[in-house]
Amino acid sequence: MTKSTLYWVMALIAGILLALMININSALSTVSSPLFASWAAHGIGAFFAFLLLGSTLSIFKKKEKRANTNIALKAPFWSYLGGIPGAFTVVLAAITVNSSIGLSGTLALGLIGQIIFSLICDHFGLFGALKKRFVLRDLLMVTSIVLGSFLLIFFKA
Amino acid sequence: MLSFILLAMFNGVLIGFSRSFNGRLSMSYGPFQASFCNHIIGFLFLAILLYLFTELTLSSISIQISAVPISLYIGGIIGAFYVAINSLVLTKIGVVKSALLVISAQMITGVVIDYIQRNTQGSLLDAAAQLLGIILIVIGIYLSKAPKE
Repeated sequence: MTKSTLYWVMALIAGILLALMININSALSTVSSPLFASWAAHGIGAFFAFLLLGSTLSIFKKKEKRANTNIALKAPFWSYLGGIPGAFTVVLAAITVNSSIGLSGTLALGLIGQIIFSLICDHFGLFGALKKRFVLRDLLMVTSIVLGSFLLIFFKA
Repeated sequence: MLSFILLAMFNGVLIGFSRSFNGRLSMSYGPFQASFCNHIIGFLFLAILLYLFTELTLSSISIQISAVPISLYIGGIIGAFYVAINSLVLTKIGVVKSALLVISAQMITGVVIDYIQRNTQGSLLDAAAQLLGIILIVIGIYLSKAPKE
């Protein structure tokens, strides 16, 4: 398997994990509250990421050291704050899901927002992203995945 | 209505910010470091929100923690892996492509979960629309696979 295929597969695995995570966390929020559920999930996530960190550090140490000296980039201050917008989405989702647009609208519009943001990031090379030219193939990819997702969101049986 | 539409779209933008920040952090320190940082910062931020906007006290929180079945806490473990993988992949294949692949797999898995969990029969129209949706997504996933150089 080439490296690009590996990352392609990993992205798909991440999506499967995300769906399972949302399913479990929403069950957690129905027996407690969205805010509590997200807080608890973040706490457990921090604990497990810490364990993973400890267990992988010794294995990857050599490789990472080399990689770090190669790139030699220090992380900017804002890059530490990814948890804040991530946590804030829980609050906003709780508001919009209970509004007139409902769960379907929340999902579909969130999808559009995220894709527009991603297109801008790739196009201008923002937040450390490599500048990427948007080609016809990409347009077809975006269109078919967004349309397909909308069908799944609005025709949820 | 319009404000809710904008709010829901802004929520997607926030997800984008979170992914990009974590991706940038993982470029410097590695995906598990980014995942840890994301979760601990989110945990502290949500603790502040819980303190400010709910009536939860330390004792009521500990009651709530013990009242929840332990299996429902698995979501947090999955999240630790999800953020790590997502951060790594974003820096390797780009923001748009990684977002689309994650969304694709998420959507299709969502349909599978729904079929496993529900007990009522959906309408034929719903099933047909879902099938078409999955076909479109699979076409998109196929297109995302880079052609041979």
